[in-house]
Amino acid sequence: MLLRRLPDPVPPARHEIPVSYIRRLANLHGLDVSDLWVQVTEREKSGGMRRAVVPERLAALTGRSVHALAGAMPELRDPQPDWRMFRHTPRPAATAATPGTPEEWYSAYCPTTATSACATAPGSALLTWTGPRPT
Amino acid sequence: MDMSKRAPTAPADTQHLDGGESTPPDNPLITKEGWGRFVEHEPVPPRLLTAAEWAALTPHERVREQERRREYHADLPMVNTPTIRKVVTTSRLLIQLNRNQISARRGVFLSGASGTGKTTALTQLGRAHELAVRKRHPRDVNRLPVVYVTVPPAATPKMLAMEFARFFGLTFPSRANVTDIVDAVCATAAHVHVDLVLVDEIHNLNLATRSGAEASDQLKYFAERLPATFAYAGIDIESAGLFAGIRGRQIAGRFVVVPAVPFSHATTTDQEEWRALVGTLESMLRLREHRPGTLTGLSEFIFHRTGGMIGSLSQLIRGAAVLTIEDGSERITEELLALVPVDYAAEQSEKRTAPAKRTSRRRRAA
Repeated sequence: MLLRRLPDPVPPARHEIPVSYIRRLANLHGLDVSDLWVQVTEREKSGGMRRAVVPERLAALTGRSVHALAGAMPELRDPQPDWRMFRHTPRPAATAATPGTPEEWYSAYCPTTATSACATAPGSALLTWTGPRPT
Repeated sequence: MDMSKRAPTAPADTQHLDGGESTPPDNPLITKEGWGRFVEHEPVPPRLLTAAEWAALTPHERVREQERRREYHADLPMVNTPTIRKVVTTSRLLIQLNRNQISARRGVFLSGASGTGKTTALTQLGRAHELAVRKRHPRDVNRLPVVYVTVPPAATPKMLAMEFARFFGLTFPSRANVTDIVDAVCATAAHVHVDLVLVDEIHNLNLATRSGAEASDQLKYFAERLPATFAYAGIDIESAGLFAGIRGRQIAGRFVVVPAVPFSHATTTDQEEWRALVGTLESMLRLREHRPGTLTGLSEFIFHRTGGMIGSLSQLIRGAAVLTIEDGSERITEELLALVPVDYAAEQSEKRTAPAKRTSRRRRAA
């Protein structure tokens, strides 16, 4: 199965989490979110049930380089960033665990962080990083 | 229809899910990438070197120069035939008329025998429209105004929907049903502002079978849901029963049929038109020893050799040009044109229509 570039691969917002980005791409193209999620992820190497995003697949799907994607989405960075560096980011009132991502990473709908490009796109309920990884 | 290679603008167009990156072996017109390359491809005629410049080249440079010209002649620019003009004019008018229609949009059927330039006319229509739209919206790089699909043999509704999805690059798991695919295709098409859908090889729809009739209904459903003008091309559509029955009557009431016919050589006007076409092709040649007017002088011979088929004509001239560069003579003669292989249909036509050649006995008697 080949992954080809989507017709309109909108850019990820700054600090958007991959599941939010993939959801936006799926909504924009009328695709099933879980189908697209399965296409760009694979089971974690630890053997668990969690699926981790494969940056190269997301790059193929969007036509954006892995470097550019990781620049916007810290979760894709390799090695992982020091999450304490995100301590300064404002935490919205409503936080919720996002399905499909590691439980300890909290995210929430945060309209104030939407970039103009993403805010105008359909299905732009952006999920962004809301704070450091809890210790 | 050859496509030029273009510097990739994206890091990867495709990727295998097993992790290994790869670009597709070819980018056919039925993908947005292939279509985009076709639209952007504009063959630039190489400059013909003077005798002095040619003599000054090293053997290696000569090989490269010949290779460049061989590539150019193998992919000669398309000429504007009457069929292409008619299709483009009619379809662009219908696109305008359909723009604010909410249903019952009008479309075009391009029907004719093989080799008459149906696919060429259809793709040139799409190219002309896409270039015009790109000019109007230069900043909208993700706009895809034209979709080009072909009807696969023994098409079912799902196969047809997958053809549209393939053009856009949408991937589905095998368990996806036709509704999922159609919904995604329509959402994507609306999002990227598709306003012209080109459907080729429509004769592959067999309305006598259940799946063929369902596939035809699927096409009609797409035509209703997509705010676009549909242009179809196929072999002898009128006689294939596409306009028969209730479905057919509805199609017949909404579509303009543009016939794609071979050129004729019957009247003086026909002969002039054919000569002008040959002359246009000749003017594009970049051969060092070729005298302009040679091919127009041989236009009757070329007509009988090709049966007036634009596809055969293109193959004949391009083939002769490549051969003459290879053998170094650099000019096209009647003998060379007789050597170039043409398709079976053209050969049969030549047997039927070409004037009998003088035999050696008659020549001796003369």
